[in-house]
Amino acid sequence: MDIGIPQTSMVRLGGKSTQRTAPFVIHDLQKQNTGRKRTRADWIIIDHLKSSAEHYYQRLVQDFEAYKRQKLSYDDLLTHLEFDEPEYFEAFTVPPAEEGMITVWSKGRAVNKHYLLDRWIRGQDAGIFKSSPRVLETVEVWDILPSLRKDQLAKWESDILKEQVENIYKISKDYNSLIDQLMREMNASVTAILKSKRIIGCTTTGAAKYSNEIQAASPNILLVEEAGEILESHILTALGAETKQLILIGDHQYAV
Amino acid sequence: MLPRETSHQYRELAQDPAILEMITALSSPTAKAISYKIKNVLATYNSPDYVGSDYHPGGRHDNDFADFREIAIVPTADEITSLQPPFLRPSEILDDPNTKQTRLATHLDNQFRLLREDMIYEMREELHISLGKKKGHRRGLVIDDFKFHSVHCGKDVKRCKWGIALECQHDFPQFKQVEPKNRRKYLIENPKFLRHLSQSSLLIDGDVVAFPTINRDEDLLAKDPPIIVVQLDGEASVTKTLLKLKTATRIQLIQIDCAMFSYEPVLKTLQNTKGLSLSEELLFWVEDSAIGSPPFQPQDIIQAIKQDPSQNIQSLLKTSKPITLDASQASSLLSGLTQNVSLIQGPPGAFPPGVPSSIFESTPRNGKVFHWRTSGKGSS
Repeated sequence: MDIGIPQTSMVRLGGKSTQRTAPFVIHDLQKQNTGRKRTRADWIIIDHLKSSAEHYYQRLVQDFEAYKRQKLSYDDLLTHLEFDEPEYFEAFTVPPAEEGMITVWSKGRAVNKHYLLDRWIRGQDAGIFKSSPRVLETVEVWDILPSLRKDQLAKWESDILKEQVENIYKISKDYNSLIDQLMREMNASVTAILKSKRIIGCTTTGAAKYSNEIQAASPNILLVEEAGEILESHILTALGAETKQLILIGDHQYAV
Repeated sequence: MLPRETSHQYRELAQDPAILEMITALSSPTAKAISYKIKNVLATYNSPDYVGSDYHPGGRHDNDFADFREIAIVPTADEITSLQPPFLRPSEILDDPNTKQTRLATHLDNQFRLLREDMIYEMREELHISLGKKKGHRRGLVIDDFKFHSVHCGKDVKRCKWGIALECQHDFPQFKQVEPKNRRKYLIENPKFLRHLSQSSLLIDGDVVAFPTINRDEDLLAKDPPIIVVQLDGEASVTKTLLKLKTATRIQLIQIDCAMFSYEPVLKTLQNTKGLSLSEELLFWVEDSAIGSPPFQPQDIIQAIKQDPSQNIQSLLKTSKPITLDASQASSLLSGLTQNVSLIQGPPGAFPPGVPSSIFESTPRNGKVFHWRTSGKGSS
């Protein structure tokens, strides 16, 4: 700078700045909007990412609601059994009433689809369906001792929780990767600024923070001062695909 | 750029030697360049076998994998408490001529593990201090007694990464002297209190389950009782936390002081590295072999300095101030201009500021320079 390199060809990434380096700080350049403006195509990508993220967000909220529910619903339990424990599902499926009829039990209450499951969990027998062919076929399930039924239920609850958590993880991962893409799109102006400059000045923290953007801008020459203080991994990550030259300046015996 | 998972199928295809040979055999220079690029990319995935060896990566805990790209950056609770030493290679393996085939991949893998170990060491120290197992001058802020509140993804106009919102059962002691309407203001004026993106450790029923990052949402923190949002990363941490959270009776959060933000981007970039430029010079150089030269060299300047190293090069570089170099500066400038990779030794200040800048200025207009300084710029 002191030897007269024009200001407009430099940009600076990183924490503090002095009065002299202030005109090159990336944030200010972004505000001045010296990078390119977003095109229609950019907005289409951004809108698309936003709406996909919103979709995953809704699913995440739903799944967390189910996760948060204190008591397991009979519906959730039956769904789980249908896929994972078919013999139990068979045993708890209430036989259909004859056409036009409703099966009732004591005091004329209608039998709902949870009738058998509920009785089994309470440690009771199959009640009004005791002698129905379906119950007789699944006698092993109905023979389980009431005390063991509690353990079985606890196992199902934990299996269901595991499934829920696994599902939440998958959705949350997809959601986060959409947010990542969205942020990269929003940061495209940084890449544009970096691309438009001839010299990118940078600190270690700045290089780490903008590593994606620097890689995208793909500098041809990497010049490192005080190389003795920088870890090799930091230098490797600053080498872009197009880097053709690396100059390291520093003293390995200094400030070890 | 494709994410790692989806690029896998293409890598398999590229690994077919017949296809690669076909591309290499083509006479067009573009095709040749592409084939070298493919080879370079593949080499970064070419991890060595550990058959027959007891000491190998993977299997120590729930975040130890043979492929470093699968390792979650933020450590898991199992990992921090694991007593087994981590997998790190001695440096001679990287120089061994017999492992040349896998050197690039091994080198990246090792750089990742070394840097990550630095970070974990720092975290482990902090954690031990915060749990009172080790004496230290600071004890992280401990917030006791939470209830799981909801999932948090920011406001709909500005979504952020997902997190878990935890509702404190008691108000913060920090708010005691603060009027209800000034709570948000207090948080904005004290950014260090539950600092944004700082690391924490989450304890459920007395056990550390994960190390979430605090996502500072002033609106939620200002509520009475306050709500803290923490973000989790990695399958092991997410599943462990959610499985335990469901039945938790006591949830605690301890703030730990670790500069994760300076490690994380570098580690992530290492995981996503596909091909490394200048790897011939950096990893496969043997003594006395020639170093390649960069495609853009300012011949007029190089010739002039070769002829008379002590001349004033102001007019050559078109700078506003005169620059003269001494013999060693001139020779380092020449090597900097003519070699692919050059290492110039000297403590800060031994060179006038002109030398590195000369290198910039001697570069033709089509070369983009990435200039990196560390001195006194808040580097960590």
